[in-house]
Parts: sequence; C-alpha cells; structure tokens
Amino acid sequence: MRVTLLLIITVSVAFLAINLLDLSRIMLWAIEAQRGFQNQMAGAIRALKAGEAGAYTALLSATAAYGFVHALGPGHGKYLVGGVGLGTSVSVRKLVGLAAVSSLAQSLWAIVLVFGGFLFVEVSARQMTVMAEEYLAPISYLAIASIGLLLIWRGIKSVQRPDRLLQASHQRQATLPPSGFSFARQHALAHEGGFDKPSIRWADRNTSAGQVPCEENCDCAAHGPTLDQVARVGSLRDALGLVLSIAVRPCTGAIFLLVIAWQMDLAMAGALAVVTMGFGTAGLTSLVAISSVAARKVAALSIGNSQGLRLVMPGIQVFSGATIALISLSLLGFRLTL
Amino acid sequence: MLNMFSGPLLCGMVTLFGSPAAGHPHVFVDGGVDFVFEDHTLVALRVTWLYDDFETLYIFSSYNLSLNAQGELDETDRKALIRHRSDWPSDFDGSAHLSVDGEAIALKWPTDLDAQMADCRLRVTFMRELEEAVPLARLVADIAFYESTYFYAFAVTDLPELLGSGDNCFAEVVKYDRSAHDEQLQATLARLGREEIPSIANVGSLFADRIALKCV
Repeated sequence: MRVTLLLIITVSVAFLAINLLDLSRIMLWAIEAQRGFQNQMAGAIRALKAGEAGAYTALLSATAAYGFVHALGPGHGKYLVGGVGLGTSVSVRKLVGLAAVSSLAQSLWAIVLVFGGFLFVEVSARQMTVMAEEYLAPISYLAIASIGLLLIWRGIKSVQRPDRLLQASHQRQATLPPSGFSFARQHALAHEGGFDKPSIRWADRNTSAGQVPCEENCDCAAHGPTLDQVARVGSLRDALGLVLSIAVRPCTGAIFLLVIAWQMDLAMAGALAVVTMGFGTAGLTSLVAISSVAARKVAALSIGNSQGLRLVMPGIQVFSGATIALISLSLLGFRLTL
Repeated sequence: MLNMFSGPLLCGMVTLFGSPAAGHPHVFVDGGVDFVFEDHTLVALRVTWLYDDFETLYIFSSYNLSLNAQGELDETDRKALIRHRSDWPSDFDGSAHLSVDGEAIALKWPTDLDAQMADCRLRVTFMRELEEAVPLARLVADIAFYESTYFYAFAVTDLPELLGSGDNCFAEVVKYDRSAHDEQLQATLARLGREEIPSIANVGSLFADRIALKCV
C-alpha cells in the first residue's frame, strides 16, 4: 500500500516537473550552439586542408564542444544512464566510467562503420546515415528498452520478496556491498537459491533452495561460483549491455564529419576529431550520471530509515525502468510506423 | 513532507534531463526570394539558398567533390555539382510558397539552377516560373520561405530584388517572430531525429520568414 502510494506520488511529481519546467530554451539553444560549433568545425577543416597552424587545435576543440551540445539531441543514451543512476545503486564513479566508455565506443564504432564502409563496400554518405538512423537506431532503442524492462523486473522481484531474500542470505551478506540496491546485489540475491552446476544459469528456487549442500563454512566455489564472482559476472554483463546498447547507434554528427574528412583526404584528423567529439559527449552523459546518482542519494536521505528505503528504492527502480522502456519503445514505435 | 517530495522531484528532473532532445531542424539555409516581372505581370520567383559552412562541405563530400587549395570549387566540380543539384527530389516543396490574396499560386518545377561559392558557403539559385503570370495591378502577394517538415530551417537574409518592370511594387521582409507557444512546439520538434517526420502537416510554415509584395 505504502509502495503504491509512493509510486503514485513519484510518477505524479515527475509528470508535473516534466510539464512545468521550461526546457524549451535549452533545447533551442542547443540547436543554435550546434550550428555554431559545426561551422567552426568546417572552418578548421578548411584551415587544416590549407596547412594553417593551429588548425588541429581548432578542430579538436570545436568537435569536443560540438559533442557536448550534440549529446543533448536524440540518442547517446542519456535517459538510460540517468535511469540506471537513479534506479540502481551503481556508484557515481562507475556510472561516469560507463557513460564515458559508451560515448567513446560510439565514436570508435562510427569510425569503423564510415571508414570501413568507404574502404571495403563503397557505400555512399547517404546510405551511411540511413543505416545509422533507420537500422542501428531502432536496435539501440530495443536494447535500451530491454534494460528498462530488466530494471522493472528486478525492482518488482525485490519488492515481492525482499525479506525472504535478505533473511536467507544474511550469512553471506559480508561479501556484498553494505547497502544500496545494486545490479550486483540483486543479481546475487536472486541467485541465493543456488546454482545448477556446472553451467551458471537460473535455478528453480523451489527445488534447489533446499538442495544447496552448503553449510556456513563450506567453500561455495566447490560447487559453483561465489556470490562475489556472480556479482562480478552480473555487473560485467550489465555494463556491457549498457555500453553496447548506446554505442551501436553511431552519432550522425560523427558520420558527417568522417565523410567530409575522408573525402578531403584528412582521414586521420577526422578520426581524432570524432574521438574528441566522443569526449565531449561523455562530458554531457557524465553530468547526467552524476546528477542521477545525486538525485537517488537525496531521495534515499529524505526517506531516512532502512525499512522505508527497502520499500521505496525498488519503487524508484521500477519507475526508472518504466521511463527508460517507455521512451525507447515510443521512439521505436514511431519509427516502425513510418 | 518536503523531504518526502524532494527525492521524487529530483527523479523527475533527472528523467527529464535524460530525455532525448535537439533534433529538427537539422540543416539551416539562409537566402531569399527575388521577383521577376514582365509586361506588368509577375512571371517568376528567383530563389536563393545559402548553406552553412559545414553543410556546404558535407554536400560536396556526398557527391565525391572537394574544395581546391584556395577553398573554391574547380569549374569542372562546379559543373558536376550543378548537374547533381538539378536533379530535384520528387518530394521537393520549393521553399518559396507564393500566395496572392490568400490563394496559393502554383509554381513550375525549378529551372536555371546555378551554384557558386560565397565566403566558404555554397550559394544555390534557381528560378520558379508561375504557372500563370499574375497582373501587377493592386497586387498583394505573400511569399513564405520554408520547408514543410522543418528538417530545413530557412531564413530570409537577402533583401528581395525586383527584376524587370516592377516599378510600382514594394517588397518587405517580415521576419518570423517566435511566440511562447511556438517555442514549446519547436522544443517538441527538437526531439526528432533525422529520419523522423513531424506529425503536424506543413509545420515548417508556422516558423516561416515571409516577404510581402505590394503593387499599386
């Protein structure tokens, strides 16, 4: 009951905030700013072609700035990073790292696609943007939506049986982080019922829970991975999923720049510029990462006691997952109806 | 109570901050429209498009063309560009939308395309003849300069020229004045990616710069 009430309040307040806050000016500013930085990039490319001094610095700083403001636009996984920061207990350092790796992977993927496409397949610039926007963008939306659904599922699961899970695992908690609601922690708790060796897969909780032949002091590694190992596997898989779902869709700004650079025999400069563009993008998504983790911490502080936290954090996780899934699926649906 | 709300409020803000933004328009084009008169009638519009520096480079690259060491187009490349650009896409909507006394006037398919470099930017001009010439006597015409899906944001930056016998005519540029409502709508459009089409038909016309032509 209390969870439902809090969920309703959360969604209502979020809805009000979305509708009342005037972000129009920021968006319009971002478009104007992009236009300015794009033209600086063009000027720097011409200067580079003419062999002018300082052209490299001008190009790289313009692309970094462009990457930052361009990341306000569609894609780049901001709402995924924000949702994960809000809905799980991922540390700010790790989330910033993941956001940065995602942006850089996205840049490298753009370089591989464009230069690879020109070298081996002789595709046109137009085919390149069509592939990015009509094929890779929906793949990215779908992958991001899946992560959102996973968050919802984990949130609901932890609301359903937090007490049973926590009680069952109280002996092994020492290997887990002391508090919070991380992917790893939930993953570990979900595995608490046991592992069906030799493969690491979900076991039937009802049957295996009683079959785990593990006493308090036994070496769990003898019949399956330790919780610590599982936590690492889980978080690595989660991290990979997050990075790939963002990076699979190359940024159109990067594609354009690479096409121009290739045509003007400035491939190396273009590649470097796109990497710095990735750093710029990483700057913005890192800000989203930091603010989302901060918001979660404020939420946790405002709730205070651990009993309340145990109820509310899953609610926030479900809300974050639902927001991620809804935005992704609506973007995907929009495309499919075109 | 305040504490209880501060968390969810921040949730909303973060979710919002993390939402997609900054899409349409993708290409900015400056330029304008000139009027061609013959025998006391309006016979054609001459449209000028001036692309941004970056878009200029991208257009060249997409046709496998490149600027020379002087930052100009070689004549053979310029000819090739004119050839490419003269092949208009079937969904071309002209960018110059003429109406007389509130009635839309049909224009012929573009002709006489020319392309030049102007201060590192590509300048394209072309003619749009009217299907039927319009007499100048007490003419009140309006040209809206836009592309219907707002993928391209057109802006009138050149003063209109009156070419031929349009002595008793006056043209005035009426720049688009962004209202608060338009700001919201533009912010919504800003969420669209390059391959997406706005659901509002002819949305570009809402943000159009206009040219008012009056003849006495």
